[in-house]
Amino acid sequence: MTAPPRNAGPIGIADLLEAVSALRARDPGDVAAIGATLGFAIDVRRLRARREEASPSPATQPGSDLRPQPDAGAQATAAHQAPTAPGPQTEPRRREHDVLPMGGVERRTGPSWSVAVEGSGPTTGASAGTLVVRGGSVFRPDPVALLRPQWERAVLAAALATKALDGALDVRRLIEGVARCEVIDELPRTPRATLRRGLQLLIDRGPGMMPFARDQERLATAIERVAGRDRTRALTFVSCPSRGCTPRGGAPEEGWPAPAPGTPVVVCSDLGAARRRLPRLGARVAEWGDWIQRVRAAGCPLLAVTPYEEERPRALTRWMRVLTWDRDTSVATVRDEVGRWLEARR
Amino acid sequence: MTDLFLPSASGYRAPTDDASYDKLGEDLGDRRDGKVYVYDRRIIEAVQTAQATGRPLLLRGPAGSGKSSLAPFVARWLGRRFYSFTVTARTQARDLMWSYDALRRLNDAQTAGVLPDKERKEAVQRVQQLENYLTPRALWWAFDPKSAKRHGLKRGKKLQAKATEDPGIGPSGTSAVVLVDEIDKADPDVPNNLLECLGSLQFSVEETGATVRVPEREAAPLVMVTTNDERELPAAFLRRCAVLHLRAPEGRDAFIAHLRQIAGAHFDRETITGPDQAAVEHEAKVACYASVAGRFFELAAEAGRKGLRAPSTAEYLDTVRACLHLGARPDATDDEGQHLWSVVQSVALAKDPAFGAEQDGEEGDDA
Repeated sequence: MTAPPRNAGPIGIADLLEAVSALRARDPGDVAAIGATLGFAIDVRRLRARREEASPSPATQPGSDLRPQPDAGAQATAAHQAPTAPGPQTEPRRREHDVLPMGGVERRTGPSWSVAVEGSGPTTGASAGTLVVRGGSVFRPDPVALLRPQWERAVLAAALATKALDGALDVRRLIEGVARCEVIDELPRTPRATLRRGLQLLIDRGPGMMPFARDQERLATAIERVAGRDRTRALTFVSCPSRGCTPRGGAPEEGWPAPAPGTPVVVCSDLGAARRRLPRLGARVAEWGDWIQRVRAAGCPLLAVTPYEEERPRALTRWMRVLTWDRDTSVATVRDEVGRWLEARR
Repeated sequence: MTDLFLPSASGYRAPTDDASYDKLGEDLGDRRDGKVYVYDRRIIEAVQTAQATGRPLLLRGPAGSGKSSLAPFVARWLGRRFYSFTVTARTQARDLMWSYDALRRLNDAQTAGVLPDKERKEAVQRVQQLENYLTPRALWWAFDPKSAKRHGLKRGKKLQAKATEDPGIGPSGTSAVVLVDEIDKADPDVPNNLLECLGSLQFSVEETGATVRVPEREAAPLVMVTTNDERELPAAFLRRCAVLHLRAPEGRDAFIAHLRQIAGAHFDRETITGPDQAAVEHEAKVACYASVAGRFFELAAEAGRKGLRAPSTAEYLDTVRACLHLGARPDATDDEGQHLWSVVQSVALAKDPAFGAEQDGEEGDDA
């Protein structure tokens, strides 16, 4: 057996064929297991039916032979041969088994949405926006994501990053130091964006954000996926974080618990926009301003994410970075509204 | 590819006669010496598939499910050299390939200027040879150990600095198994920056321009990457990996049987002295495996209900060992026995004080 192909591209059907051939997998169950490892969903029943069509003779062997054949350099492992893989070792392969029947093999991709139907298993839709009708009931798919799914990861990675001075060597500064005959005890490095500081995520449950409650849940999950669950501390609040925050599954805390200095604080809120229509509800700009001062004093970079573009108080946009949360929000939007990374302001 | 991973089902023990593996597990913690691993057919097939396709094998699963300990076991079985790299939040992709000490080179260059003429010539030569300031890392050693030994310096030239010692464990002159542990700890661009290197099995050293690749006719290293799924990995990276999810069996009986099997593989052949200084009998060991496994299952369920971290397999093994040595049992009926078990449990298995908090409250009320 020769060395496996060296291919930098994504896993494709050639990888599946390579593995099935190299491992001499005959049983559709084994083919399915190999396929699952490589990310293919293989319908074992269809595969078995195809095989039976192709070779109806009783010579068809059940079970599989996952052992390397003698010509595959099996001598090296001969001492370790085990009863874990039953099946004849030296039987010549049937010609029809050399070709993997392709029926029932498909590349696994995530469903565009899913709905759970009472009394039945989850059903997946073929395309976004399609309604599933089962047993006479019509089910509503998940709402369209507020950030485009294909951009979501890149947008969040760009928006949540802070600055770390451990990039490539900063040659310009280094030469400057050497030219001045300074003792270089630490190499100057260029800054780079990093997510290693984690973040505190503050989710506004106030009236202005009620229409976006499901979007907020989705956003929180997406942020955890990008920044890391272990480095994301999510808290909820009503109208303004200074009024008190509640950790998930925990008891409400008085006021806003400041994270460690340098930890970015991301607040998903209407920023008091609700007051325009409901003056008694929502927090005043001054209240937000006081809280922003506290975040600055704690040495934490601050980012507000809001779906309200026109209604948000302009004063707040001068005091902190505000990212518009909409279908058109892209990495370019982040660069415009946030910059290359979040930084603490004093 | 010269050999496929095909371990024996008996005892789940790797061959231990090769002394070159003696250091395995010293710097990995837990029991990652690769001697024992309880596997099933699915795991064998996944490793074989990764070998056959030359793809990295991404191991997913909760903490303590055996992701990191699979790689040294596979290395032992295949008789391959083993390299490991633990990823941290500060790790960058090139840290897996090489590091370059620019500061030392700068200092050498500055001090060379003040040296006497005789020594200056040698110092200048050392500064001019960039390879002196390179340190090959795990993937370089795994791809081409001969090149790594010379820091990528071409044949015929002499490396001025002291060569780096091969950090691998196991027989030299063999292909390698590389463990890249906890890749989800790194920034999202790290897996993407490894795509080209892991896909084509080659990379270029930025400072010297040297290309490091797996020599023709040599078996590709088997790269095993673990993730705790704390952070989603880039789709492009996932598309290039074979993936194995390590999960505990579902259902109480299957779960307990699985844990008993793991404990048996670790302790059945080991002579363990009990509190009376006599060797613990096999029957007593088996009873201990089962009773601790039963308690483990209850704690895992409680952790799920309360959102706590579930105990891991490594903690189960620690608890079993402690129980065997101390004579502790979860089903002890006397006061002293119950006290001993509660101490062992809180120290080794249920470390979060929130475990059993309701019970404590009830007891407190009674008191």
